[in-house]
Amino acid sequence: MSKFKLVLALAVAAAAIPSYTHATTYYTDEEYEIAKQGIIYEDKGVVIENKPELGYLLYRNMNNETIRANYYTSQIVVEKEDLYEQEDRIGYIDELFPYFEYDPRDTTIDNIKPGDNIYIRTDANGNVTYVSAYNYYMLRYGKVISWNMLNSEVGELIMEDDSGNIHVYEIALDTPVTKSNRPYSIGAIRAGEYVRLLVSQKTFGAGIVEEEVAEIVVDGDTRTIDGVYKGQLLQLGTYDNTVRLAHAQQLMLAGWSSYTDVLTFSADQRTFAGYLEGQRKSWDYMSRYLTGSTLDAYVAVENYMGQQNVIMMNVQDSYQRTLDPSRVISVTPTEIKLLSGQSLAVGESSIVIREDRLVGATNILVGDMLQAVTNADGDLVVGNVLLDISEGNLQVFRGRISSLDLREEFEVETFSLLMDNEWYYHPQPRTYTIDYTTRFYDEEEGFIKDGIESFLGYGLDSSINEVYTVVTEGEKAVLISNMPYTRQCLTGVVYKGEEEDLVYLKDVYEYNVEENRWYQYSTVNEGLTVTPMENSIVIRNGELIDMEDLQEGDRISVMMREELDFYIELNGANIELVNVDGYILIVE
Amino acid sequence: MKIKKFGAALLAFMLMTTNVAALEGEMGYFGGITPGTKLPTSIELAQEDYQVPANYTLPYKEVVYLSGDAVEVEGTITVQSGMVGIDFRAEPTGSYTESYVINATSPDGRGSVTRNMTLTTQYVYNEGLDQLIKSSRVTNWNETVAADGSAYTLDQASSHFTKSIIEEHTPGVTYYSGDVYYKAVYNQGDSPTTMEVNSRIYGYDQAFAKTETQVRTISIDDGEDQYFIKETPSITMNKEIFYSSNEPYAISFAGNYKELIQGYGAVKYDILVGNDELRSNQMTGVVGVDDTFLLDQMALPSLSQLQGHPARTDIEKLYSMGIYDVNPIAFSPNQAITRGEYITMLVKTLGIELPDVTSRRAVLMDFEDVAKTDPNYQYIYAAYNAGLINSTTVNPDDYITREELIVFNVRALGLQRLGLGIPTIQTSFMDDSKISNYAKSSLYVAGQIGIIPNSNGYIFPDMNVSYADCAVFLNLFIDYLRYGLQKDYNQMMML
Repeated sequence: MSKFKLVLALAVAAAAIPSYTHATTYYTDEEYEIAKQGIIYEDKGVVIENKPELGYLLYRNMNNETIRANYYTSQIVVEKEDLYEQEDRIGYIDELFPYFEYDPRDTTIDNIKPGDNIYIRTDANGNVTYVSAYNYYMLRYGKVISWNMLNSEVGELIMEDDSGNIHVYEIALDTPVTKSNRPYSIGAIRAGEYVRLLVSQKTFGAGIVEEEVAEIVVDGDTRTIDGVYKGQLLQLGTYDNTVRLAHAQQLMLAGWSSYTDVLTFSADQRTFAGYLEGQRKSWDYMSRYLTGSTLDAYVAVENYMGQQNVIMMNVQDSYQRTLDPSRVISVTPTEIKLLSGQSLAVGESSIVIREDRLVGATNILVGDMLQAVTNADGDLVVGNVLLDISEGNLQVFRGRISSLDLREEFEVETFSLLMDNEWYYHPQPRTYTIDYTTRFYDEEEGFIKDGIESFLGYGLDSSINEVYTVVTEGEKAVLISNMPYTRQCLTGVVYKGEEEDLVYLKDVYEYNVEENRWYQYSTVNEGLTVTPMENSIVIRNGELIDMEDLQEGDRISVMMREELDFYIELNGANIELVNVDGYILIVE
Repeated sequence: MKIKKFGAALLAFMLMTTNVAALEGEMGYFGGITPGTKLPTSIELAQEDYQVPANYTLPYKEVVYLSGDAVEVEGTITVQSGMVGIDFRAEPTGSYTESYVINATSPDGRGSVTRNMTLTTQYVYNEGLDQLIKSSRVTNWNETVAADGSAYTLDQASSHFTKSIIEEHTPGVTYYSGDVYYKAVYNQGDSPTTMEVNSRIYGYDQAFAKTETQVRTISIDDGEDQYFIKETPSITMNKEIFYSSNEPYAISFAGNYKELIQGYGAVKYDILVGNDELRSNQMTGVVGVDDTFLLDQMALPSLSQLQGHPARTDIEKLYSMGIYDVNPIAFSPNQAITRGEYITMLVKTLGIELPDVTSRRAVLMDFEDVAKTDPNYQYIYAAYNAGLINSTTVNPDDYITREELIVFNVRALGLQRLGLGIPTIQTSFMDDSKISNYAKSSLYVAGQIGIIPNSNGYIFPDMNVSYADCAVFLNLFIDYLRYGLQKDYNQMMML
């Protein structure tokens, strides 16, 4: 017998005197003598079957023999190492002596599953007295192709790793998920996101491997699409891994941006996906035959590790058209139809962006608002799925505070709710909670640091009987502002102007509250500027944002204190654009 | 037929060695990032007087959180490493001084950092485990930080810094991990601002790449407000090779490979508790820094007999790297490789230091079956010193099998730990029953980390390895060293 096999022998003498159970047991004389000799019977293997109700388990040992081991369910001591237990702080001591401190590894025999690796000890009769189980874990990193809930207990995750391998997992919905070091809802995982999976791997036989996802970490938005650009392919740098586009433009909500003479991005030749007229082409092919041409190259640029990398390129040799955003009304694997009437062919060369992620064309769904770039053949070259959530779960209302419980909640006697640019009065009381996340704004100071501490229901600075504009999410107030009543409204499309602290609007319409009608502001589309007030509210896609986060092409509604005529009059003969005060700005 | 060796032109590659000690500290210990120092090029390594630089200045970026917001600053870091030139094996205990000078400002004027730190580091080398333990104490620390209109001056007497690192040297890779803890007390306004930082450090250094990643938690208390941040700075430097064909028709060689060395750093931060004004999209972010690359040409013989051969590219890469040195005229891709030849290739690949076997002071090693005149002797000796082989019986003339080759590769990476705790049980390969018990664990690891070509689930463990197959195996192995290993340190940790 080789040295190796000796190690694997079933009976191994060891110096330690074992005591496998925590409960006090009485040894017979014979058992006492055996225990005193320090003989232990141990083995290792992989569980094939475990039947607690029948009191046995089958395992394959290190000699590749299948062993049936009996046990008494009530007497066996079982430990199983959980992945999050970094260290067994009790360790061997609780096997040597009765030890009653909480041991996170203690479990019961029914938790020993097929595929578990086990270390067992038996008594002289071969009955298992102690089982310690552990699993092999490995990490997988990749991009989510799709995530669907199959039923109330499991979902199906399809993931593509860096090597292009597709992995399909059924994942329990109670699997721990985190994002940016915070717990995250498993239902919120989206196609195009990158995830790291902790996978428990069990090998049952040649070619038979079972993998179970034990934990998911979702990329904390460190790997997102920075933008889609169009330009003429100037150079694919073989050595410095760069892509240079001439006369480059970025796709904005309002169409293509102004030209940049030369834009340079990084690229990884090993993962770069390039297409010419729908056909996959290599980096070298594109470098040799397409650089310097007048063909339009559309590239998806991903921000990763602080660098802008081209991850997909679609080169087109024909006229292109950028369609206004339109609702998707029909989807097949090869074609989508838009409410505006176009039918567009989709394929693997289509650059499709959804929630700042590059996704497959199958992720375009009926009901999506799609900004599409097409070629003369009606192929979808670029598809940008636009979120049209607007206020989302946020609601804006005004109310007079009737009672206030410091740091807890407040009540308004009656309130007006802002809906579709009009305030609707509700003559009933309503209560909202406040906490450390509630933001307070003042007309003069703007953001009030620790504002919750000065939001009082007593004293000279009492807020009782004061009127506030409040943004709420469900029953919780997320923002409280002392802005004035803003009854007037206009809408317009954001464009880039010279002064950074102004919002420039074109295509402006003013709403006439009395007539319930929209009026065009300027027949020559002069536009105007909006000055967001210190205590203003800006909402986009169901989130509060800063004014600086408004993007070119955003259509916004602006709630003002005065009618537009007031500001026009204020402007007088000034040649500057008319400037209005903006209190509530909502991206539509 | 005894294979003729291919000229002396590639002798220079035999002199390649990697760093004896890992160069941790290239990003400092304050959450900053740099692109790292360049890996030596093949030409630099071939020079007799090549030295790892002991002092260097690198582009530097750091994120300052003292105001409860992320303020990005950029500038330079100058490092005096102190440990370069120390032979830990010859001097198993000792100490050295390391210093870090950082000057950085933010482009928008929101912040700046001026920091000067000197550490005294003591070390102990454990020869049996081939592990080096280092412990550092601060001897001088001056720091001034500006953030969002406030100036913070370090109170050195009230501040504390400790760093401890453990390195493990495996045949092909030096891995290290460690901890840094510091408490920096700053004078600002009426009450001091205290910043406590706990940081884990992980890294490795090998011939084709090096990566260091820190996982830091930062707790700040300015007497009125408290902030808490997690950040993950990481730097990676690697070597890539590219082929470029020559455009002129009348030129003696069609093209050649080029070696490109480039590094980059990135720090990802999550502000879990920041100042009240931060919006959710301002609480996370990534900041990156990169540098310009180094480029070197690589020699490549004409291998016209390989036109159309599926392993041609892999074979040419190994010739370019000096790992294959058989006379190209006599080269046959179907020739089986011996154990001695493969050990030599692996030593060249990993840049394992070659022992002196020619001088009068040389101490020669006796192997049972390797003559001192054997052309592979010096490499086998080097492999023995590095722990790649454990026995004085090498069987150098036996043809190597696939499972033996894979066991060597996994051992070279020092990743046997990832193998099966129950070594003889079962791998997922279809021909698992053909795998020797001793090799199962390594084959399992190789399958997990992707250094085995996909053969429909079969591995053919007892099959001899031809030069063509070996080129594929070795290039997968080298690609793992170039690109794969780093993913565990940056991609996996920076989510």
